[in-house]
Amino acid sequence: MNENSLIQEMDIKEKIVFLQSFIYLIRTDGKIDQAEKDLIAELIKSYQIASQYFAGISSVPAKENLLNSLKEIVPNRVHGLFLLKELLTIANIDDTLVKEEIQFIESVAETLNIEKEKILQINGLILERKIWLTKNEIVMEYDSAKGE
Amino acid sequence: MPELEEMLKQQEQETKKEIDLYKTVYFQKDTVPDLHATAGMAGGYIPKYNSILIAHFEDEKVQKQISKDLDVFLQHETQHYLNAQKGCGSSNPDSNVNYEQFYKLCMADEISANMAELIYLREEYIKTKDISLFDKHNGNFTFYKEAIQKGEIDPLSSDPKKFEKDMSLIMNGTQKMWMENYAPFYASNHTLFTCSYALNKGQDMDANNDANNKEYSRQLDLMYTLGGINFNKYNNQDNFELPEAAKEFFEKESDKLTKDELLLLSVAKENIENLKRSENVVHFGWNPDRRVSKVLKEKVLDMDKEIITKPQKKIRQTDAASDKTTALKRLQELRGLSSSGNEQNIHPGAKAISYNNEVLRKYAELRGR
Repeated sequence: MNENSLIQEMDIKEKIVFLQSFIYLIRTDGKIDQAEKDLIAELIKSYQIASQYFAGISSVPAKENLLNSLKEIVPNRVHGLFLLKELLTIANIDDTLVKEEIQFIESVAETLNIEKEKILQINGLILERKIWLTKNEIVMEYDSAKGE
Repeated sequence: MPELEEMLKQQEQETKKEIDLYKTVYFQKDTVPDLHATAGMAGGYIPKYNSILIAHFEDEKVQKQISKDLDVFLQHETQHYLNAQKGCGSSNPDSNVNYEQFYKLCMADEISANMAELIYLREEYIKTKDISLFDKHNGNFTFYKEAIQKGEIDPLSSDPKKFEKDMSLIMNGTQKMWMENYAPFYASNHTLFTCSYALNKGQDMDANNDANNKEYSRQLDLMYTLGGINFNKYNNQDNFELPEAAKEFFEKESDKLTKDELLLLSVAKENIENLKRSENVVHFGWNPDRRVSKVLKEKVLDMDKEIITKPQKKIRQTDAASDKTTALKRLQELRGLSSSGNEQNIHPGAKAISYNNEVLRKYAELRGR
């Protein structure tokens, strides 16, 4: 399965609720700094969302309403798993999962009837990639400080 | 089942530990006046920092002399690092072995590091055919050079019998050389290490049981597996005994080690202080932020990989990669691209991401491009 094609097959409602979930996760620490704003902009771009929907995305509902929307809109398990992978990827960017992030991801999984074990498996995939990236940098002699 | 947070945190810790393992091998140079400042050493593996420190001597004569052997020195110290990562040798206070075995593992750690030097020189010799390479490091490997000159071994040969002899000589020749030239010199240090170990382990230091013997053999296997060969299978262990000075010490102290804990504590405490002093690298001007890894790392062969040149065999062409479609698909998967390799199918955001933002860069990396 090509994950990019999952995005292609989403309708706009689903894309918006995905993006709202990302924003909810990013601001669990109570603030959004410039780097995080840039990340949100990049996510909007990668989900190919037209500018007319930006306002809808940025008005993120309260947690309960957001979870209800996910339950209603996410069409199947594969899309649900993909949402969890995206959320875990974003949560892993700063190398530390905080309690609030974990709680939100767990709520999303419960809402979509996805088991705890699956969250661990998906997180394991992302962590394996982190290890791979470290090894790659060393073997290929890339200097991350120079942005190689 | 434990809470999700607890399990995710455990995963995170394990990953950090593994990543640290790759990141913390680094080398650092520091300028010191002369050999007095380093107690005669060119540097060393520092377990406390999990790093290798290299002295740069202001005394040009000394520096010139040391620089000639820098490559073998790096190979030697890197082997100590690798042994420590595997939980072997003198840096492992948690071993389950008796004190005599621990002492021997300290010696094996050094022998293993010397074998790494010799394997490195052997590979250089195969590339350059320059036999004078074996004169490096005070001529420690003259025995190997002479064996080549006498035709007893030939690293360039395709004869498997000669290869077996060669491997056996790397193991037993190095062990003999080290036992004769270095074991007495290292006796005081290794006795101190063993006392410190005894203090950690308490009363069971005399135990000679299956568990101890098994652990002892396991560590020898690990430390003597270099460049893809387990040299321990060639190890005849002749003369692999405690040096006289150490024997005397342990014979005198062994009763006390098991029966008089207070005396053990006093002996070991004093020795631990000595150990601390020997590990005190402040006078080297250690600075964990200052790394010179890239240049020096290039010089070191990774003995955890199969790097030993073996007798050449003709390799039969296989048709493993003949299915171009499958091969291309696999290549793209491994590179983190989409299965078609068509740019249209790459994550739509990936292409647009610029790397002037650390958060964006990490996101793009984690997603894969």
